[in-house]
Amino acid sequence: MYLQLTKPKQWLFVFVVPLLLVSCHVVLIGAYDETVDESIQKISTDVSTMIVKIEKNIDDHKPDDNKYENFRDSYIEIFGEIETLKIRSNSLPKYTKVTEQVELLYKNIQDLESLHKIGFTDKKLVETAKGLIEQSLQAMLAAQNALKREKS
Amino acid sequence: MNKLDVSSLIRQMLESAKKVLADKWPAVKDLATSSFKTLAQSLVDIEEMWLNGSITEEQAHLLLDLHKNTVKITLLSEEIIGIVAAEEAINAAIDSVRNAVNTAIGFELL
Repeated sequence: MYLQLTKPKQWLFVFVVPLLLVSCHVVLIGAYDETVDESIQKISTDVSTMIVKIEKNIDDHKPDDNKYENFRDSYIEIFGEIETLKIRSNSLPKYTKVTEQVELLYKNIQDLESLHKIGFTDKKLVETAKGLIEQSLQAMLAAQNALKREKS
Repeated sequence: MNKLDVSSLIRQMLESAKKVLADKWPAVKDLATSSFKTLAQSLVDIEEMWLNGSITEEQAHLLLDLHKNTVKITLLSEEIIGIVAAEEAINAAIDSVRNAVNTAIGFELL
C-alpha cells in the first residue's frame, strides 16, 4: 500500500528531510583556531620587522648591513614558524584552503629570500616585495577573522 | 622599447577575462578588477625598475612569482569568506524554521 501523506506531512518531507540530511547545524569549513591566527600574526610581525630593517639600512646608506648573511637566521626562524603553522593547519579538519595559503606564503618568503640573495640595494624593489607579502598576510588574517563567524 | 601603461593593461586584461568568463563575469567582476589593477601596477613597477637597471631579469621573475602567489592567497581568502557566508546563510535558514518545525512535529527534530 502506498503511503498516503496529508499536506502538512508532504510539506515536512519536501522541506525538512533535506534539512535533516545536511544536519541541524551545517559546517562547510573548519572552525576558527586561535593558534593558527596567532601564528600568522607572529609571522607577519617577524617578516615586517625584517623588511623594515632592510629599508632602514638602505635609507642609512649601509648596504653591507643588508647582506643576506646578516639576515640568514631571521629567514630560518620565519621558515620554521611557517613549517610549524603548516603542521598545525594540516592537523585541523576542513582546513585545506588555509593550508594552501600557508604553502603559498612559504613560497613567497622563498622568493623574498632569493631576491635578498641577489641583493637588496634598491628601495623600490624592497617596497614592491614588502607590499605583496603584506597583502598576502592581510588576506590570510581576513580569512581568519571570517572563520571566527562573529555576528555583527 | 614601449613603456607599459597601467590603464591600458587593466583594460586589456578586463576585456580578455570578460570574454572567457562570460556569464560568470558579474560574480567575479569586483575581485578580478581589483586583482588586475594590482597586477598592472606590479608589471609597470617591474618594467620601471628593469629600465632603470635596478633589477635583474631573475629579480623581475621573482617579483612576478611573488605577485602570482599573493593573488592566489587573496583568492583563497575570498573563497573562505564566501564559504563561511554560505554556511551562515544555511544555518540561519535552518534556525528560522526550527521552532515551527519542532512545534509541528512534536519533538526536537532540528
